[in-house]
Amino acid sequence: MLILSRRHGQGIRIGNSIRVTVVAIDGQVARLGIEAPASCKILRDELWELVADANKDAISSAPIGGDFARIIQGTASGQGPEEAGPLRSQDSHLGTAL
Amino acid sequence: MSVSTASDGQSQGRLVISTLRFGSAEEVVIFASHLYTFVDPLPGLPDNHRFALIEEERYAPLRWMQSLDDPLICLPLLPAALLEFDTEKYRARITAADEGSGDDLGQGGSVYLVTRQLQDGGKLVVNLMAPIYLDPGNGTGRQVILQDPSYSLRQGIVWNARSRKFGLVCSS
Repeated sequence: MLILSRRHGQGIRIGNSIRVTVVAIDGQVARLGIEAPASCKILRDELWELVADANKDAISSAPIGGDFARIIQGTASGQGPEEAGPLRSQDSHLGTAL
Repeated sequence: MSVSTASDGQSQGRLVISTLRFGSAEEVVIFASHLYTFVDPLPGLPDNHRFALIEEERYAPLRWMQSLDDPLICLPLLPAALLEFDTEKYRARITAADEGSGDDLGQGGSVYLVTRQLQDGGKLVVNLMAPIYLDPGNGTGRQVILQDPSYSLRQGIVWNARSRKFGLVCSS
């Protein structure tokens, strides 16, 4: 990891099109100004980590095979506004609209 | 689990994928058009750029997105269109968050939600915060992260037999 020391008002450039500037420093909090192309997605690190953990959890927690279909039907039992009903093959075609 | 693409399984735009995802070793036939390239890998899954979308009627309405780079990576997905909520608003929100990617959301593409089963109680949740957009038109996919607190990372869902869609469970 490259580590640089910057003072208030100073910045760094990443490539030719990204500039990061230290806008303010207040105690242990640094405010950063970022200039980057719209195609460059900027996220807080903790948000990225949340999604990463959710993706990994989905893989590790996924039941094997048909068990998942049974579980989905089970979500209707006593929780939903309607009674449980069997999933039908035609339901699988509803996913193309959005 | 193991998965591989068999070159001799390619026939009339179809591919045969061997997988153990469904409990035992078996081959799953997918359309070649169901192969997607993620230029930017999914968060938490670096080095996985190629995925196959498996649509098996026996597992409907769930889909499986199998990595072709790592046989252990297989994500359960639910089509967002199967949820009872404002899909137009949701798609507009995704489009706005994805603005500037240089590859606008196409009308022919579909939005899917990563689905999980919670350990406590086994309830199903979908990730509304980070939907996956698959565009069969150009064979690409990407996960768009919405920085909007109204879209939860763990949105509970419940099957509604009447509408044949999933209702959203309100958190208390």
